[in-house]
Amino acid sequence: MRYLVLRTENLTKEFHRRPALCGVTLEVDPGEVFGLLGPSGSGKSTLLHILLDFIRPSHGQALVLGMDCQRNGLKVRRLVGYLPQNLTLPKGITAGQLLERFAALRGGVEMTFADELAARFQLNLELPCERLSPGERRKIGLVQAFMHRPELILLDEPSRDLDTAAQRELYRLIAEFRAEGRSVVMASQSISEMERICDRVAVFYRGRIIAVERGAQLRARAIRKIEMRFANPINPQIFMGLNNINQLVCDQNKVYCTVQGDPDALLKTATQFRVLDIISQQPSLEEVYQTVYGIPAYAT
Amino acid sequence: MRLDLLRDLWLERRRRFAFWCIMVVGWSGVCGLLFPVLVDEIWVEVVMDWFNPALDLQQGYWLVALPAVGLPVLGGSFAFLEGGSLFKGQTVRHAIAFLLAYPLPRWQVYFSRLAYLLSACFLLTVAGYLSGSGMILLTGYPLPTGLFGLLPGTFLLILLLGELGVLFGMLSKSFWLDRLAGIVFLFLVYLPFGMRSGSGWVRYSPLFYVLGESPLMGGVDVVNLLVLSLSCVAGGLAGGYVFERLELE
Repeated sequence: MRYLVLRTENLTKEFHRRPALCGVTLEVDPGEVFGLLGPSGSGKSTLLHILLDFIRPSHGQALVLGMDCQRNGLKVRRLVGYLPQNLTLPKGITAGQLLERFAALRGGVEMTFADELAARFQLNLELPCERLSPGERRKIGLVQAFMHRPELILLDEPSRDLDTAAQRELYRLIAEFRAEGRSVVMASQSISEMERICDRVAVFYRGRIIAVERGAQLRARAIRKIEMRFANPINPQIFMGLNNINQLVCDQNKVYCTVQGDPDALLKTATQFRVLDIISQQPSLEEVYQTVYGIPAYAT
Repeated sequence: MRLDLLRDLWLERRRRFAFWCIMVVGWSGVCGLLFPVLVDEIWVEVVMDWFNPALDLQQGYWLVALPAVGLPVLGGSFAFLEGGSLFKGQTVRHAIAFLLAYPLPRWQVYFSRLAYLLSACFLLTVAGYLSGSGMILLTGYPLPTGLFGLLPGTFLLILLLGELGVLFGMLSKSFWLDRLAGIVFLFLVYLPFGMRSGSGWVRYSPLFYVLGESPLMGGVDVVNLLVLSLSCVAGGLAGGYVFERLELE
């Protein structure tokens, strides 16, 4: 039987008879970056909480690093790093002292590596915790999640509140860990983040997995909203023949549309004219659910 | 139990504790200063008539000897609220969940919190007693016989209320409901004290187990203390059982 970093079978959790997770079955291979995509309340964090034994499943089983996450919770948590969605930091100590406390709780942490991580995220360890911005709090959370070089890292909304430079550093760090054969499971509402760094993504909707997509598949099915402004009014007919264009609206010298997948044909057609401006936007999660999975926007 | 977790809790909650400590020390100090007046039989009778004419002199004495009665009330309120706040609220639950993401058994986290509650209750009781008795001594009046014999019972009673707060903190979702329950409970604890000592109801008051019917004369009642100690152990274990099964959503 092949070794899996994470395996859940028919995992179900109900809170006060309201299902939060319904029959979730998934498998994560070693060295894989696995994404949990879904709107808030879709069951992503609940799954992570079950894996860490914060809550117990109503039905089903979860094996983390080959061990039952309930029966061997302590062993599992020794080998796993976790970044929570909401990190509460104590007052009256500096970020550096806090990291030392985390290291003492964990045991066997090389502080040089923790300092190196803090430096990579440009985290000022001299600052008192109460003066840290949300982004800096997030960085502390990330450093403590990675500092003991865990076999599996569980990240809940890792890039929330992070600036662009810190996000890039996070993606680099995840890539390095993946190259070392370690696995990452990350929950996020950002489809662009999932496309960029995940090998596979489980798409959650109301506690169920409605699809498991490869990162490349997600990219191919990605939808972008495009707005183009031309120097002169153009004939909209020339865009109508393109296969992957939807919701095309032309207004004098402006064109609005959505593109699914590769925008190459659209750009090549547009460059026949003088383009003054082009804006590309990622659609919201609701729009993706509606367009790709056929789930009405109001339902998410 | 982990000493580093205990230290962190003390650092985090030192201001709250200081506030309650000042209240208890102030209350006990003022009562100690007024003690010579309060133990004057005429004053005792005035207060007894106002409170409950059916009281016997010994009970009336304890009603006006406020440090002894006031300390469990103030200390009990502190313990109940503090015990609840150790496990209640989204921020606290997030902090506990985060700790449990580390390789720490649940019982270590629970007992560290219980140890904080125990040490806080003990310090509060001792501070109240020292303040009250210090002030009595300052007035030049001798300390009542057996006063310090009440210390272990008062401490255990306060701790028991704290453990009850812990259980409410873990089981109840409403802040206001458990506060109301705490107030009702404290009221019920002291209500029988306003009745005749011969009444069967007085035995429902935990204070009865601390003080006995003639506290200053009898000194420490070992049997009553044992009952209270066992109740504290049972309360602590019950809290641990609930925490072991607590879902940190």
